[in-house]
This record gives sequence, C-alpha cells and structure tokens, in this order.
Amino acid sequence: MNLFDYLFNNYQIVLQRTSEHIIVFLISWSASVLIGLLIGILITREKMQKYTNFVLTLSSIAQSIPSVAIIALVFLFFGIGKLTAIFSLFIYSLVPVIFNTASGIINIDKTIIEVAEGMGMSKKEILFKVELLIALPTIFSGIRNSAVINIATATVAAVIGGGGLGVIIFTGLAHYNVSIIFAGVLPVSILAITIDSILAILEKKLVSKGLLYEEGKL
Amino acid sequence: MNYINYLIVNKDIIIKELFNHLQIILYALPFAILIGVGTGILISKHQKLSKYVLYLTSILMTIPSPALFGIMVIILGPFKLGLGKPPAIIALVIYSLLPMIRNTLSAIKSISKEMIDSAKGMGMTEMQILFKIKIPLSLPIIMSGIRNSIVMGIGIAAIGYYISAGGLGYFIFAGLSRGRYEMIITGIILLASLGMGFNYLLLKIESLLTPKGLRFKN
Amino acid sequence: MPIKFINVSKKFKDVYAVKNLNFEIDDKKITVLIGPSGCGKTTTLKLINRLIERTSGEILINGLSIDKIDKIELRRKIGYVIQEIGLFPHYTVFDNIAVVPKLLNWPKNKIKNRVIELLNLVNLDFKEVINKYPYELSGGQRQRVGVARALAADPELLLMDEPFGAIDPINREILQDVLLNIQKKLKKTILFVTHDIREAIKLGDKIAVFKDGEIQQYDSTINLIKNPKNKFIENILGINAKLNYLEFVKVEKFIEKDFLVTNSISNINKIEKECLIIFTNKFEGFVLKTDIKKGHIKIRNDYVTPDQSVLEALNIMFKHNIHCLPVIEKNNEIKGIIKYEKIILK
Repeated sequence: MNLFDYLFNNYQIVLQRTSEHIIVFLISWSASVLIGLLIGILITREKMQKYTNFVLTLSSIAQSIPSVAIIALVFLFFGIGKLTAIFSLFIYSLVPVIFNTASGIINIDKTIIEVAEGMGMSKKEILFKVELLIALPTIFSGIRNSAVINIATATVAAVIGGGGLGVIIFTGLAHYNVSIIFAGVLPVSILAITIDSILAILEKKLVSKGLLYEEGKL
Repeated sequence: MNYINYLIVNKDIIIKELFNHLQIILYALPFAILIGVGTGILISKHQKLSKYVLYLTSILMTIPSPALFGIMVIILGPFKLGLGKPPAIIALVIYSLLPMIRNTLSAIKSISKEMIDSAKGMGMTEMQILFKIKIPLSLPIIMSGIRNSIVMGIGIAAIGYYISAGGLGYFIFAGLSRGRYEMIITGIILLASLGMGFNYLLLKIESLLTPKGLRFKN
Repeated sequence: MPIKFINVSKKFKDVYAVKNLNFEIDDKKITVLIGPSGCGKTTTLKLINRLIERTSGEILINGLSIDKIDKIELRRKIGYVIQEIGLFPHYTVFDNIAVVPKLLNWPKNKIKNRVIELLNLVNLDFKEVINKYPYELSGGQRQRVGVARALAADPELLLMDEPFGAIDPINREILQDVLLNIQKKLKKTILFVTHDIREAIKLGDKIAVFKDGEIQQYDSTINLIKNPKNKFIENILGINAKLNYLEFVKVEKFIEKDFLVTNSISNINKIEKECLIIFTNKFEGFVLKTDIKKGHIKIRNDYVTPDQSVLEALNIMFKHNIHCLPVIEKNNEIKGIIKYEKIILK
C-alpha cells in the first residue's frame, strides 16, 4: 500500500476537510486574538491593576490544563457540533493571548512610562505608541502560540464534531491505516507551519528592531 | 450518587489508566532530558547551529500532536512498533525537545563570562565553579523547561489512546464515542488536576532551586 | 518661565515628602536642587509637571496656576530628562527626539530640521546616530539624545532629574559642559536635581539645599558657598568647598562693570573706575587705577575669557600681583572685569 494512495484518490475529501479546518481555526482564533488583546489591555489599565496578577495567575493555571480536557468540558455543556468545537477552541487559545498581552505590558520598565507621561503623552498615546509597541514581541509570541495551539486543538476537536483534518487522522488511527493517517497529517502539518511562518514574517515586519537586543535575539 | 457508584465500580481501570498515563510521561522524561539538555549544551558554543536547531525543533512543535502520533505510526509501523507505548513515548520526547533545548541554551547564556572569570579570580577550582556557580544558576531555568515538557506531555499523552498506548485519553475519547458522561467527567477531572497539580508542584520545586538572589526575576 | 512655589506641601500617606515650599525659580537660569536621597528634591521636580500632584499650596508658572493649564499641554511645554534616560527602546534616535514634535503635529520637514539642529547642539554626529536604536548607543550618547529629546519642542522650561548621575566622571564633565553651552545659546529656565555638590556648583546659578522635605537654604551659588546658613549646608558643601569651587566656577559668574573703555592712553591722568580698558577695534590692553595712583602708567596685556575657570583668573592675578582682570569674549567683545576680593571668600 502506497503512502499517498488515500491522498491522491480522495483529494476532494482532503481539500474539503482542510478548508473546514481553516475556517474553524480562523473564526475561533481571530476571536480569541481580538478578545484576548482587549482583556489583556483592560486588566493592565491603572484602575484594574490590582486584578492583573490575579488574571495572570488564573491564565497560567488555565494553560496547564490539557486541551483535551477543555474540549470535553465544553462538550458536557453544549453537546456535539461545530459551534461547540469553535467555542472550545476560542476559550483555549484565548488564554495565551491574555497572558502574554498583560505580562508584556506590565513588564515594561516603569520609568519609560513615566517619561512618556512627563513628555505629555495622553493615556491613549501611551498605550498605542509605547506600551503596545514595546510589549509587541511578547504579544506576538502569545498570538503565535495561540495559533499553533488552536490548529492542534482543532485536530482533536474533530471528536466533538468540529470536522477538519482531525477526522481523517482519527479515522486513519482507528483503522491503523497509514495512507489515511498520512492524508490528514501532511496537510495539517503544512497548515500549522505555514500559519506560524506567516505570523513570524509579520512579527519581523511589525516589531521594532530596537527591541531585538532585549529579546536576546542579537 | 450514580457518579460515585461509577467511580467505585471502575476504580481499578481508573488507577490502571492513570498509571499508564504517568508511565508514558515518565518513560519519555529521561530521554527528553538527556537528549534535550545534552543537545543544548553541545550546540551552545555554536551560535549558527543553535539557531538552526531551535528553528527545526520549533517547526516540529508546530505539528499538531495527533498528527505527530500519526507520523510515529507511519514511521514505526514497518518495525512493528506502530502501536502501543513506543510511538507515544517517542512523540512525547520529540515534543519535549524544544523547551528543553531552548531553556538549556538560555541557562548557559545567563552565566556570563565575566562571572566565571571573577570566580576564577577568587580562586575557585573548575569543580567549585561547576557546583557553586554553573549548576545553581542554570538549574532553575532547565527545571522550567522540564516543567513545560511534563505539563505539555500530560495533554499530549491523552492522544495515546488512539494508538493503543492506554492512558487517560481512554475516558475522554471512549466516553465521547459511547456517550458516557461519567467517563468524560472522570477524564476531565483527572487530566485537569494532573496538569494543574504537576504545574504547581514543579513550580514549587523550581522556586526552591532558584537561588534567593535570582528570585526577583519571576 | 519663572516658577513660584507658594506653601507647597506633598504628603504620601502621613509623611511629608515636601513641606511648605516657598521659593521662586528664576527665569532663564539654572537652579539646582540638592540634598540627600529622600529629601524631596525629585518630588519637587515632579510636582511641576504634575507627575505627582501636590497636597496643598500653589505652583505658578508665568504667574499662572499649573492647575489652570491642561496637564498634557503643560507637559508638552516642559522638557523632562531623568537619570535612567527612558529613551524608548522601540524607537530610533530620530523617532525618540521627534516624539513631542509629532505629538504637536509639526510638519515633517520642520521635525527633520529640528532633529538635525538638536543633534548638532548636543555634539552628536547626525549621520552616525540618526537611525540607531538606544541599545546601540553608549551611555553618554544616550543621555545626549535624552537632552536633545527634552529640548525638541523648544520648551522654555527644562526639568532634569539627576540626568548625568549614572555616567562615568569624565563623560559627566563633558555632558555638563554640553549643557552649559546649550544654556548659553538657548537661555532656558532649567531646574536640575543632583546629589553631587561639584555638579551643583558648576552648573547652578542658584542652589536650593533640601533636607527632610524642606529647603534649608536657597541662594546664589556664590552666596551659598560664602555664607552657609548652618552645619548641614557646610557638610553638604564639604570642607574644601571654598577652595574647590574656584576650579569649576566660570569667570562669567563674577563679571563686574567697574571699568571704563578708551581708545588711547594719551588722555589718562586719573580715572574713577578700577580698570581702564584700551580698545580700538580689538582689545589692546588695560591700565589699573592703583598703577596710576602710584604714578606709573603700565599697560598690561593679560585677560580672561568668560568660560575660563575662576582658578585660572586667580593664577594670572597672583602671577602679576594685580587684583583685577578684564574679561574679554573670544570675538573681542568686552564683558567686564573680574576682581580678586569678589572671588576670595572670608
């Protein structure tokens, strides 16, 4: 039996599962990036700062819960289906975005913020011109992490009706059929690596070179 | 009431799968540490090489875990090792490499040449430098790599169910396909508490290993 | 921009950081705040740009209460430099200096020209540093960029919080000279916090000595050295202050107008002033009143420039056994004279 058999003979199924995977990923991930950034920014505002550490601790605990458990938990409440899958992916990939946004912002040297204030920047200007830009490397690693986790978890979410390439992989594993497994493994790996590479390029474009030194990348 | 009944009736199988789950992780751990820390130390002297190795392992980590299990089945199948614990353990080792190598590298980087020189200047022997400076300074960072690997491994090992490796994945996946809520709940509770518990425990060990002077960094 | 503190106090919880401050900061002069750490000097600085809000009292800038000015607008009009510099790590040198002009929506061309001008002012090579990030600069270069950034929107008031404190002694001297040069050209009102008495004496037109949130003495630098009010001030000044200050105080601080100018010595017989300077289209020499009294007119050629140290002036006086010297600018402009008895303290 040839490794590529299933892939070539059923490329339409593979394509359909791939697009399903991408759609589920895009919906849940972009929601978690948007809302994660928002929460991360909100809890680091002056009035909310007493909760920052609490949220950081909470999200670091949440990050130690296996994705499988979250998927199963969401299933218990909402049953099987695409929406359940999307919701559980959203929840799970939300955590690294919140964590990295908040920790990136609160770890900025306080004197830099004070100087920005002293120069007459408004709170909004400080957020957009200083805080977010300096925290960007950390935020980006959260966003990338979230994307990779999302794609991987989306594979597992096939078991609660999320569809996608996980369906092919689990079918292959269940039948111990190497050709079917491969037809799922290849596109999902390419997908994950491609998305991460795109984000890496974006990161390189957006993050100031002045921050590379602090990141230890020089 | 029903649920407690379930636990009592199935306590043997619960313990057995918990044991299986831990076994996969604990078998993978020494290999992961040996290969990860070893590679980290070996490549630390070559900047270019470290960059390539880190890049390669980060790509490996982008591959979703079910897919990596699939790849193991494909590769190990011809050797009659495609099912059971070996592919699960190997997949786990591969996943652990990135945090291990990355943290080892940054641990070594954290020990500056100046620090070693001043230790030599104070008349420390090579042995004393190793035990009094190099190990105490790098241990906590390497430990956090180990923690990352273990916590990640707890989730990933759950997929092992699909390749007959046993483990807690059984309760979730079999529970889902049979619609048995008490199994799913058991899976969620065990996986989540295992993840959070190990994370907490290893964090404690990490902070105990961290010399007091370095603790402010956390 | 003159600044007036009226009964200003700041309490943190129950402790006074500064208490009943009543003093006036002169327009276009450098005023130094000095004192041990925790004495309230930094707090005083931050009360002005309202990074810290006072508990009671009133601060007037140009006669206007700082509460009447929008906080953001106020800060944009005040240059602010701190020890840690606080350059934005994600911005290049250009973008760092351009921060406030950009906030004020200056046109691009104007910003660029301004940045070039400022880098010149702080003696940095425009081409070399303009696209560099802070981590690529040395400590001294960073602080120069910090000063340039604070001056960017041409503020009338500059607040400097131990700006050179973290810099090695040699570069600190250089930066102090850079600052004095800038001040000579731009005439800003500068409030300068330091704990280094040497720096205070070198830079300050006036010095305010702080202790436990209160001003112990506020006076011109020379008066402070001449007449320390109490033991605490004497300790801050150090035992050798009365001699040491000669080395880093500039001649320009002692210039007096007790002189006459003439273009020829022929019409000299008796003069009212201490010193008669002979000047055609350049400095030709000078004659002392004491010499004339003794009956022999002697034309002397020595002089000092305003930026020479008082010690150098004193050396020349000792050498020729005279008690005053003309102060002549390098472009041959007569500034005045400097007298021995003004320099030497009781």
